[in-house]
Amino acid sequence: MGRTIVITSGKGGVGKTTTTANLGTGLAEAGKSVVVVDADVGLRNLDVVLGLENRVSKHLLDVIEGKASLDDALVRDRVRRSLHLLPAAQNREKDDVPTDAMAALMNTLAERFDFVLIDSPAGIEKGFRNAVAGAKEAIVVTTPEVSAVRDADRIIGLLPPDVDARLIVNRVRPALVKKGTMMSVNDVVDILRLELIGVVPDEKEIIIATNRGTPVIDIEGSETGAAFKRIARRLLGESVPIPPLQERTGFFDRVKATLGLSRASQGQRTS
Amino acid sequence: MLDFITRFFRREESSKSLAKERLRLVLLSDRVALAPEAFDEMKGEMLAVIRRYLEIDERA
Repeated sequence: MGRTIVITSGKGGVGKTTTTANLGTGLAEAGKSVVVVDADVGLRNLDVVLGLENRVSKHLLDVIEGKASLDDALVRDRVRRSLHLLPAAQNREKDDVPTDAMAALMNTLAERFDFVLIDSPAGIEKGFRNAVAGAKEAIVVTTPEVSAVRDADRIIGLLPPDVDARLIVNRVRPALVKKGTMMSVNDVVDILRLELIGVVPDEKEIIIATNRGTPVIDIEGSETGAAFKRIARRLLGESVPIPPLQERTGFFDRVKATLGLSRASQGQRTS
Repeated sequence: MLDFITRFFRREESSKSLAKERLRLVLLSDRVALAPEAFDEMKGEMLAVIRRYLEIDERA
């Protein structure tokens, strides 16, 4: 029996879909069979983030309604052959999906795959309840902002008690945290009191990756990609420490480092 | 000039503290899971009790 994990946040735009795509890719890379499920019926995007949009023909609701077989609907990634996408319907609504049928489908998928990652829609309505219905574990994604943390807190309260939940703090900007402008990861964990499974820095590579429709994991030298890879390994039970955040070094930092003036030159940098 | 710089940095420092403080307050009311009317009633009653012992500025 595979593991079913819902990726959720309450608030929209904090990186659920990107997280789902990259963890799915990371787990597939590690040799696991993975299906990523787009539960955002009516606003599907996981196909685009994975660059699989041209190959979608049938979708989740077709399967639930018996109009298509699971194999017809699943899209298999060309690069990582163990990664599959179950797309959402774009021309339907979240209320069209019966919760029981959704949970049953996730169970069926768990019999076939090592990992079932469910990309939850934003909100706390039926779309969210459906996404959670078949999941045994949850990854709550938030950013260090008041609105995102508030919504994460609400979502954590709405998760069924038997769901094992862990936290990703996404879009952290190390330079701003250091200055005290942005809340730190510790601040967020302090408030939400959830086990931290990863910290993902914000950088321009993620925009490039999303524009291309490739996972950021594939972009050489990307800290964001490296962070997602580490989270995938932690999901597999490996003990991978969360490294301290590293600022991108600019010209002045390098000058200061050369002169021995910055903290970075005193061996505080990690990767 | 130095004063300006320190003031500038202090303001930066407070951006995060402000966020934490606002979050704490908003989560306090979110987490009590009371209907808004019940919450207001509770606040009113608490205020009434405090007023019995202390002088309170109504406008504050």
